[in-house]
Amino acid sequence: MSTQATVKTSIWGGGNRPMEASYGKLMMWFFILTDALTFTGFLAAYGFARFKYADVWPVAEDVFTHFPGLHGNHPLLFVALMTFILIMSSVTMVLAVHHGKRMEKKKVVLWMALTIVGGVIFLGSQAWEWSHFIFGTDQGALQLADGSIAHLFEARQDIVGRNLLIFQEAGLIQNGALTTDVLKIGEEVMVSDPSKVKALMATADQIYGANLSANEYGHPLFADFFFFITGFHGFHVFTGVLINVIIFVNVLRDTYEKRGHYEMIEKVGLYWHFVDLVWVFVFTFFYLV
Amino acid sequence: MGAHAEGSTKKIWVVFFILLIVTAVEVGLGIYNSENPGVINWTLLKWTFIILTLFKAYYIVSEFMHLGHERKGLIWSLALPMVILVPYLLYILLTEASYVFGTMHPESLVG
Repeated sequence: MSTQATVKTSIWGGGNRPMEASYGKLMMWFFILTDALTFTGFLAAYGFARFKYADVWPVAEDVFTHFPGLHGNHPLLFVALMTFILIMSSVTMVLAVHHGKRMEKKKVVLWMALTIVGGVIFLGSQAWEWSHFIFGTDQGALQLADGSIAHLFEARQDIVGRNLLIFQEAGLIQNGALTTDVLKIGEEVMVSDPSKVKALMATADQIYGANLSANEYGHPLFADFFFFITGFHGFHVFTGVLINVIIFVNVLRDTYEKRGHYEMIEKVGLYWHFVDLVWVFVFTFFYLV
Repeated sequence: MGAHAEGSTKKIWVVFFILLIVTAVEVGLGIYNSENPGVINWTLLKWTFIILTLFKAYYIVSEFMHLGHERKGLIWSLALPMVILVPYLLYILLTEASYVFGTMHPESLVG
């Protein structure tokens, strides 16, 4: 019995590579696993906040309704375009990997360049989305003394000359100062007592858009999680573009021709697809459900 | 690798169109639901979105990231931590959050 021979042929004996993948590729995979768990933690925390404040959580379709060059309400359209751009740049990356395996440098250059362009367009789109969220709507919202958000639907006088403020939120009725003298009309709440209107306006702040402490669309935590999660993802896209540029320059300088293989494209490709993968989940849990 | 690489750009574009169509369906359902609220049962729609998302994730990981063509040991060492930890974390956090919501809104627990 020659133990030496069995060690050589056994895949766990050190004579073989059990995963049949290079060190660099394995390490990229396990980095991606840890990064995926990080994003899971963030999205799960988002879920916690959302379930906890289920009654005052904004609906994303009411928040992100703009599309460049178009007026009116276009929910989901812009984020759908962003998703398309990212999927497209994933495809160009796979094609770069595909041609890298065949040592076709010119095609690798082409598809890597397009991948970088896709990443830059995505980052620009995200900046546009952020700026719209930060600056908010023209009419803004009122933040009441208890922190709740009220969207003024209409301000006018009734037939006997009393000031009326009509709000979109039925939830306002829970505000202690307003338990009397409010008329609920469907989803709208009407404040009809002039002194109540004055008191309400005196303690309320007019706010526009969203930042880390206020959010005209609803609970401030929605804005915090939006900035944090899409920001963390955007940072991944940014570093992905950076790494892609470095590898692109290496391709131009024949680094991988001299090395005899283009495996580096596969490794950065894994990272780039992971960025796309995370976006698929961010898209679903921020914008769809 | 050689045999697999042959003609695989076709497979790449097939996966691309699967991802594109699934995303278009999601967006279409989302827009329809925001314009006609209540027509589609929200719980059903929510789970449809989640299942379609997992479907897309499977194709990205399996084909674009090529994991479907790696050794089984690598596949399981990456998939198992996710499959075990993620549902566990989500179950605990979402259950707790619903409980906290219930204590903040005792009226919602009546009946």
